[in-house]
Amino acid sequence: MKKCLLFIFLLCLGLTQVQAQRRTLTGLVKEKASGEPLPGVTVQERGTTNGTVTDSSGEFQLEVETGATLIFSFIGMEPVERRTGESNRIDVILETATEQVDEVVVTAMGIRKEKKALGYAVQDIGSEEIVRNKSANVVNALSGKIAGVSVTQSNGSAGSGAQIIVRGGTSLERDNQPLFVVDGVIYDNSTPIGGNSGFDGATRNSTTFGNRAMDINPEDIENMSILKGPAATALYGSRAAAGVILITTKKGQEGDVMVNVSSKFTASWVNRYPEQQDRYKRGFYNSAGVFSDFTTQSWGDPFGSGDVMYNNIEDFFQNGSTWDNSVNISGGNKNGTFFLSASRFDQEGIIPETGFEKSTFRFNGDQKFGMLTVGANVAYSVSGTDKTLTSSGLWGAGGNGAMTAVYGWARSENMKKYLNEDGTKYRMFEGRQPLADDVENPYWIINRNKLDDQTNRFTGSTFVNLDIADWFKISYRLGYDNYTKNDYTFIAPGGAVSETYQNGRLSESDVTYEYLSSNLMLTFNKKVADFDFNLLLGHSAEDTKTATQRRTGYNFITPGVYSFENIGNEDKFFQSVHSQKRLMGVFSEFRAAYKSIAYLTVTGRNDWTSTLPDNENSYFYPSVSGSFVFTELLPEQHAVSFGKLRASWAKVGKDTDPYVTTTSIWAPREFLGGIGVGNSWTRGNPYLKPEQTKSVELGLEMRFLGGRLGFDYTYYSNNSSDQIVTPRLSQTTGYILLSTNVGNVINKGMELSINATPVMTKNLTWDLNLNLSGNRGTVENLLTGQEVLYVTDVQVGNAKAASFNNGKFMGISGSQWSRDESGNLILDKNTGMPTSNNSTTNYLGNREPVFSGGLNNEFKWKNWSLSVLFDIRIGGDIFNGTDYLMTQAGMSKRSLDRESLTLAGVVAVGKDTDGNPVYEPASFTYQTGQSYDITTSSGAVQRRYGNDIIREYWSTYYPLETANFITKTNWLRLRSMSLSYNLPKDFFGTRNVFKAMSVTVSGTNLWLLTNYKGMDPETSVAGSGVVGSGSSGIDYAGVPATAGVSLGVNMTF
Amino acid sequence: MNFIMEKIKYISLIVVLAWSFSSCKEWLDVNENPDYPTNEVAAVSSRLPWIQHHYGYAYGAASTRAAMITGTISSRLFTGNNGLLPAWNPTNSASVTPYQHWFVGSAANLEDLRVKAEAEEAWHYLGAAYTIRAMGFMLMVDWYGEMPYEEALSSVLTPAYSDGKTIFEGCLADLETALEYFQMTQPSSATPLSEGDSWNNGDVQKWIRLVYGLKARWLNNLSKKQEYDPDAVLAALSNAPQSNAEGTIINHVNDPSDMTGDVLIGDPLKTSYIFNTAAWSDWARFTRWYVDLLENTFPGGSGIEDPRASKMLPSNQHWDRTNGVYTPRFIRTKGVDAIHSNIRLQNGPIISNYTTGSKSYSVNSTDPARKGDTIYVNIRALCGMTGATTEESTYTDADGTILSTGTFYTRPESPTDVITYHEMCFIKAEVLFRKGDKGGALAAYQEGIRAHMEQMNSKLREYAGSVNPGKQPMDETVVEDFLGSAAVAQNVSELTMSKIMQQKYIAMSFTQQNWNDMRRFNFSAGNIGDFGVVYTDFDRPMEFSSDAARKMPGASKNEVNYWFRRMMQCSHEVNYNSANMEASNPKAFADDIWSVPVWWDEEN
Repeated sequence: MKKCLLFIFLLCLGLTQVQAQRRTLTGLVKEKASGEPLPGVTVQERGTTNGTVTDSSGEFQLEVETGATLIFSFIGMEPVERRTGESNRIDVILETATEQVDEVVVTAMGIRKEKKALGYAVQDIGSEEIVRNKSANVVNALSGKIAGVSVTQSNGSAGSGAQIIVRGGTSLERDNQPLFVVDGVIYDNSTPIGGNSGFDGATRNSTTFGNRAMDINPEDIENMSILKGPAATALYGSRAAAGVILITTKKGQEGDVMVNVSSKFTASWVNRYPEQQDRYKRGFYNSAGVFSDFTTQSWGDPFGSGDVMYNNIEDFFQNGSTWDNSVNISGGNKNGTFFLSASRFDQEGIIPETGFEKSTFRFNGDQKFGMLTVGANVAYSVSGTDKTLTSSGLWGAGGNGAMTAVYGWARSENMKKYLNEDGTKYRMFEGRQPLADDVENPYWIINRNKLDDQTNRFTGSTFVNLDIADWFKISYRLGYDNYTKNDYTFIAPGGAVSETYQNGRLSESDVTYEYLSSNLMLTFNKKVADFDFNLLLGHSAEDTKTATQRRTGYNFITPGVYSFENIGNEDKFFQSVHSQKRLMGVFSEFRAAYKSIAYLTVTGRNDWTSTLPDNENSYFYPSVSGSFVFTELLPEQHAVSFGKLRASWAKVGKDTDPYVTTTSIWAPREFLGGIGVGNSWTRGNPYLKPEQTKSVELGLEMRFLGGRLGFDYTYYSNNSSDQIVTPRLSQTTGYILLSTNVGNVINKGMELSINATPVMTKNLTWDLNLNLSGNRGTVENLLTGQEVLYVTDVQVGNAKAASFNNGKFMGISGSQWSRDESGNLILDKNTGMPTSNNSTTNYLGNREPVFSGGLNNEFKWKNWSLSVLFDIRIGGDIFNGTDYLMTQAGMSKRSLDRESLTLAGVVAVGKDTDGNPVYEPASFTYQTGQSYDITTSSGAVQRRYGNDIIREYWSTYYPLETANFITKTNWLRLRSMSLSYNLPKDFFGTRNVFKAMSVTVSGTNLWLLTNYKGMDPETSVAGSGVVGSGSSGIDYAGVPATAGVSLGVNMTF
Repeated sequence: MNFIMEKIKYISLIVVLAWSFSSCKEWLDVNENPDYPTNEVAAVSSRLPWIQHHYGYAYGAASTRAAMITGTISSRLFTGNNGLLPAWNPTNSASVTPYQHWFVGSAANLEDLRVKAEAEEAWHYLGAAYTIRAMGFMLMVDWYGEMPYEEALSSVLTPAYSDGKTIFEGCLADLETALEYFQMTQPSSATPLSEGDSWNNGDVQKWIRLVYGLKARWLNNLSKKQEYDPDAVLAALSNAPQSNAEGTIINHVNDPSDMTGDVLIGDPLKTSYIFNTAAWSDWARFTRWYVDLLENTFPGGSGIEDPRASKMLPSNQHWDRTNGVYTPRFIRTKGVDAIHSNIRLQNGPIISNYTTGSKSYSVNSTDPARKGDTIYVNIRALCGMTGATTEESTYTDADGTILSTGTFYTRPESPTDVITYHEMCFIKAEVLFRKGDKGGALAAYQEGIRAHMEQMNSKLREYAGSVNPGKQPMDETVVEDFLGSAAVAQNVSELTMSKIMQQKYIAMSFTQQNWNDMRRFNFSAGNIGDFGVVYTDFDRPMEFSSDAARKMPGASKNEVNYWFRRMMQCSHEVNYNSANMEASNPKAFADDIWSVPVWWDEEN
């Protein structure tokens, strides 16, 4: 990077005049870290305009007055002052600046800017940080490290996706994940689901799906820059309301060819299991007190001394292991560079028979021909996941997922027994119920059924840069992103699924994504006196096509051969779905800078989209931002070394999906009356407008004590209006869904990061970085009568992920027990059970944390370095759907309390003169082993057994108070820790094959302190890619999260 | 200089590239879905099958649920709708399907059909559309009492509710509009109604009969109201079907290739709706109350078995073994006594299993109370989706043993009665009985029974060749003997409203109208006019629980809210239209909304 800056710096330097001769000094400037000579360093005589720069070998020569002080400065390095003495030679070593005043970051459209010129917050992380605790999913590298960025891992299964949200979601019902841009080309990070609930039963929470940013090899990344607010992303227009993650991959450096090899082994295990009861066996007592074992639930007798108790949950999981190897070769000369890499990631999951594997290849190269530079970035990856059905079976096909069964399996049963001695299927209720009604044994599911996916992806761009003059440049980039994901789902014959599929079922789907972009930019700059002007003009065009081909079939004719060819034509179905959208934009950015004091940026972009109606498809997005470095006006001092105020205003937006402006009709079907067609249940809307997000952002950045301590504070307020939502409607409209513009999402928040270097000695440095952020997402102006918007994929029992009108964006809705005005429980006067109205629309919690953050500590001692990252979350509700499931099954620890049940509250005893109910206190107690006469309101008397009443309380009445399963969750976790040792240069003696070598031991998720009972609270039932307020904060029978340790070696030669 | 010229070439290349992308409007014109046509293009003849099917499914799903509520069938299940409805302990998940199939499946297509039909002057399609619109909304009144109507199917996203009276009157007005269209002559260029009409194959005269039949049914449903006009009912009857041949009956088929499924539920598209919702799997069991009706074994019954009993109740095949030889015989189901026995409270009935080896039935339970549950025969039948490979739907074991003969109205190929002559006869009997014309009532009553039996026999004759005894016609002499027996009122002194309605109940088994009729007579309260107890021996099920008592809190049969009188609005209304729903009825969200009468059921 520094060498890139050299060129810019030389341009900026302008003319240097040689003063009256005194004497000529020579010298060499080196960089401390590498020991290499440093070209391009400014050498200036203090108080004069006399100066020069070091040449390509780091040497300089300058005539100065005797006794003059020389200032050596270079972007990103601590400036050094030296008084000249007797000697004619001065050698200087520059260190990386702790106070990176002139730090350069990558901003929208890949433009590198000085950080102090920015009127908005941008944070970036470099390759070292990305690789330190690398996982297969590059999104995880941001976890806990960037203020305002929240990353939620779906679950602990191999190859599962992670969701990333920047500053809260801006859309009620669209994907709120930021745009990914890799080397200037938009990179798809969707989470494609090959199948479809209506076609082959595939749903988001039926198995594991990965987000496609996983196709990037983290080792290839040089830098990730996070553009958080609309002002930062305005140049991307309608694609960037949710923020942008800019990824720059590595390129070769001028010099020797370098080879870098790294290898890492990771062992992982479940970090937390759900709590399960350890006292009761399978079975239940009915109302007459008759025991029955005709249930999978655990409402039976206590374990006796001779009974075996199984730990089915812990036995089911295994330790996972991962091999992660990568190699890259890079090099270059004055006119060209290249970077070649390959990697292989091979993971065995914590569930037997599951895993994830990925191979990647990359070539980056560029070549200069005079003022012309051409180059290419090309990557290819193949990844695959072996997975299992998780929290539900396939929709419409009956059956259950492995994980729901694991958590509910009675401990008096050996879950491992899924086959009889003779190899046939073992069924708990053979002859007592149809196969379709069975709860499928998880071992059957993982051993017989087969689910996998494979993705082949090619991404690439070619670019041309023309440096016409030092004030005028042109660059053009053609980008391409193409992948095909194949999903394969095989349900073995004999499964506990609906009759139709009991002879086996096979589904395959191929999702093809193809994206082509063209981007032209012209940049001009001009310096007038103390002003620096910069103008950018650009044009971009994008074409995105997707196609999904699905096949499904059932009834294999010849047993043992599971192929479509072995299925009769009448049992085979296919579906073929396509979509295309196009977007064109022209954009411009104007920048003005006054000295190093004040900066102003104005941008504008106009987009035309294919997806909106003709009269609404053109829209303009402006932004203005500025920064003011007020310390430049103060006398130079050590205590307050840097201070900057920044402010921005911007408007960006989102268009919509293809084909939502018209109502389509269903594929034809054959009825008694012949071939018939009918309207889709989604109503088209020819009046749609783009969504708009308006944003204001203010910030203050200060550094003290020569940069040893600093903070960066941001306040923002985003208002996203004209939300394109497809709400579920009263079906009396004739439709289930309709796309329309309604509602505002308002996000307000603060971000604070504090950097400090408490210790900096010759051998030991300790850097710490604390970042904290809090976002408040709220919703306004929804349709009257539609006070709640649900996330379709995220509904567990009565609990749903929901956004409330004039309320929280990330709410949880559910049902409640009825209470009187003083808050007493209203009990049924006959049974004593809590009563409930039937409404499940009550606001019961907010999944958004009060604040969250990360604390990163880095210690360097000689060749050792230790990095410790904590992450913290305070507040934010989580619905424990796993415990809800286990409570109903009699497996939860909370249902241990079942020998006796006392319910206290009030009962209605009549009505007052106004017709309002009158309540009296009442209390009911039920004991196991006893029977009770319960009068019904019709006067009949029913005799009921205590065990039956208590079971019914736990499985039916207790869950009616959804809040019983909601926890306001705090956590402090040791997100990652790594210790590495860089072998000294002379370690290998004089036959120095290695340029560098390091060994790293690291751990992830090793420690977690939380008030949440159950599995790791960082979970989201439906994984990445869920729209709207997402599924984070809803825990339902997911694969438990993992902890792990790894050992890695990194060699450069 | 050359060098710069070269640069200019590059620059112009880039600019040209950029501009070639930017010739804007056409390039952006890609928003037409390549896979699905839009709503504007579908032909009237392809709309009608879709509309008819989804209305039919809504009515069928409502009818199966009504059969649970009115005690035709009970269940071996205790949870879910099919377990809770027979217990009279409903949840509003039971009320989704008729609503969704009507509005989303059927009604959403009416406006597009109207536009197309008007454009080509296909008046008869408009007649059909108005008829079905009236039928769908009347089902909504029968089920839910209130429903968005004036604002339904419009651009309003949260439609306000209309009261029952408004909808009821609107439906009658739609019938008048339908008649006007049916009486118009279509130009020859217009699509003939025969394309796409599976109800009457485009026979406009039958459609007119259908419209009058509906009018008679609905006007008669006003029997509790001051508006009730017996003469208007009779006037409608005079134009309604006058013979079995003039009725509208959907003739379903069991086509093994009928595998695509509808878009809402995924059920087959040609099979009978009662099959789809009641006999798809093995859960339903007939009740003792219903068996008593067919065997005339209810208190005061003649004890003479109705010849329809063996067609409308299932049997299964048993094997008697003598000297190692197996001889088959069929045993008809017993009825589950849900009203008077505690069987459901004792976790019964449970599933009965047939074992090929011993050729016998057994239950897998150690509970002595459950050992006898093999006497209850299921009504399962098979369609293509559940394993039928031919048109034969009979549920058999691998050894060919018939595990259930099925029943007349619950097979995939069973008919769905839309409007029948026998219903007209029973309406006429009721009206004349009310007017005091006992002789006319008697004749209509007897004609109704006979017409239903003849209707059944003509269908059963179509099954010729089936080994299933349930699919063979009734012996005509047995029919005649029965019609002349003490089971049937033979003179005016024997005729009671109870007898009329019992026979109507049998003839209209598995229809929503049976629930309507029961409500009109307050079930077995015996407090309507001087008719006495109309539905003899009927009561809430024995298992009626304290939970159910919150929904139907009445303590005695005379109280209106003792009975199951409507459905609560489904979750889609609760969740997405709550403000309007709240305004629709003071008890819309109350637990006891289930026992609030719908408009025509309210006495005024």
